[in-house]
Amino acid sequence: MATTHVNWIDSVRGRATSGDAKPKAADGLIAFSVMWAVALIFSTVSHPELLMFQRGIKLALVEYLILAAALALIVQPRRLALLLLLAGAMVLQYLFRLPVASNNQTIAFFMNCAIVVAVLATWSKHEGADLARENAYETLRMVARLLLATMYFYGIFHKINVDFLDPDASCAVALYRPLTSTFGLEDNLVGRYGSIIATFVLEGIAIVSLFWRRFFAVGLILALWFHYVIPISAYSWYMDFSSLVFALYTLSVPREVSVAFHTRTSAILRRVRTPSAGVSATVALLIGVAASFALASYLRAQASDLEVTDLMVWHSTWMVLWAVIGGIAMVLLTWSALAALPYRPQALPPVPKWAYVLPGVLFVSCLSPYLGLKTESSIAMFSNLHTEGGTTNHLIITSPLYIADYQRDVAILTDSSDPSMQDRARRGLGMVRFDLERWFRRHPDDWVSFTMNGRQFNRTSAATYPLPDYNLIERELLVFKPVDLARPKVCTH
Amino acid sequence: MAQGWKKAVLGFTAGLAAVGVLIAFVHMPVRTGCGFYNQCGGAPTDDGNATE
Repeated sequence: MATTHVNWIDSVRGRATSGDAKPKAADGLIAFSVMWAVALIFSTVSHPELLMFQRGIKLALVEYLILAAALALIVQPRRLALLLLLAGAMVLQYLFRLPVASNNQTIAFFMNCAIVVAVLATWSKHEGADLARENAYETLRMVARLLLATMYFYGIFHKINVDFLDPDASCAVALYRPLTSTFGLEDNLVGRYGSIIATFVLEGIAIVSLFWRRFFAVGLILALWFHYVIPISAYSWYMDFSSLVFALYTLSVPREVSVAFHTRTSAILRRVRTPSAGVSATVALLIGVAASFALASYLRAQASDLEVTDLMVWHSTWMVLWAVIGGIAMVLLTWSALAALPYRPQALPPVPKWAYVLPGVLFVSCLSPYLGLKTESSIAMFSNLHTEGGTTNHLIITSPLYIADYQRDVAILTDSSDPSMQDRARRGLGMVRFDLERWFRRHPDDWVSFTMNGRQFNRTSAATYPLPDYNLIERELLVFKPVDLARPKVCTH
Repeated sequence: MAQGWKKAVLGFTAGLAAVGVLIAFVHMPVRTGCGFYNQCGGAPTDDGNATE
């Protein structure tokens, strides 16, 4: 058995060397293209209602265009045109869906914008295919690194609040419990506090390692472990977020690591008799989806005593698929990173200034919760942060610095004719006034009872509530979390 | 020594991937009957924002 193992590794190494005697630096872009396509597939299937035409034919068609472009890119990862098509379709989808609450889809939006600009900019210079790939690769590497840095910065900063540090309320513990319940450790006090501390330590190391490039492997490997594990907690649909991070890391790591990752993965895929590694990858992915779906459907049929929804089957399918695909990617990326050690950083080539602008816009927009603007889409996911109603639980910004009043007034819901609002009232959730007014516009035939600023509103509807006119930017960019009035603020998302 | 560390890290990573598949299987919502945010028993599984 040991001999077989050694031969297998040697054969992979051998093929990697002989098949790619002069690996091109832009092979890293190929590796990223495949990882990006997989990440965007996980993102697209995270909202099955769009695929089922429940939000209109336009969005559904864009969704299917994205899936088709992603599969085509996996088959032919060298085609920059396919990467451009995929990124462009994702940008369109995001714009059609505004306002978007998802944090990872917002990060992906900025990356997709960068891909579109980088590819078009390099093509416009007519420098030839190889140079175009090289320039696009270097520019996108910087964007990916800065987007990851922004993500980790706010991943730490938003969590510096009273409730994240409380083991009875912390989102870190909410994720720790399901992950360790298999081993009977969900109530372990050391583990509960440890998960809170580990979150800060891991994200701190990750952000430092992005720029202290000599130690890139420390941050990379810890981040891979961290982001691999999160989705298998089943606490939420994390697969798109984790696969996005894996893809961004594939791009931001030293180029020799990206090249080695591509070479090793291709060598394994070429062991299957298909026209190309891309075809093997696509076939493997489709078989994986079918097998996971069959497994989830079979287990649903067996679980006659449980109430299992269609969405649970869908979630189970993609979660198991992530466990396999993410696990393989994690091992191969780790292997490639370790092989590059000890690492001596080279000077980075200059990149266009716009490469700093896109991550910069994301960075500034993520200050929104403290400024009285949006509370969603600010990388405040699973942070326990609250900033609504003129108060906050943050330990550094102890008083919100509102520049606008969107979060100032909070409606406490008590009853509604709409089931989802009734559910919110039952759970003791409130909503900021802007969100309530948006709900009135979207539900002209429904009513809601609520208390706001000490005033009681009974069975109020769009016809009886004065609705202000909001401009396009307000309507498209402002999106808010439901307001949790309970203290400590338990983990939602 | 350095090679030993590398093998240990790679081995741990491979082990984590293997255990991860097991944990994912155990936590499949179709097996636990629980949806997003660990809501069980047919509770709503999606508030529209259940993605990070």
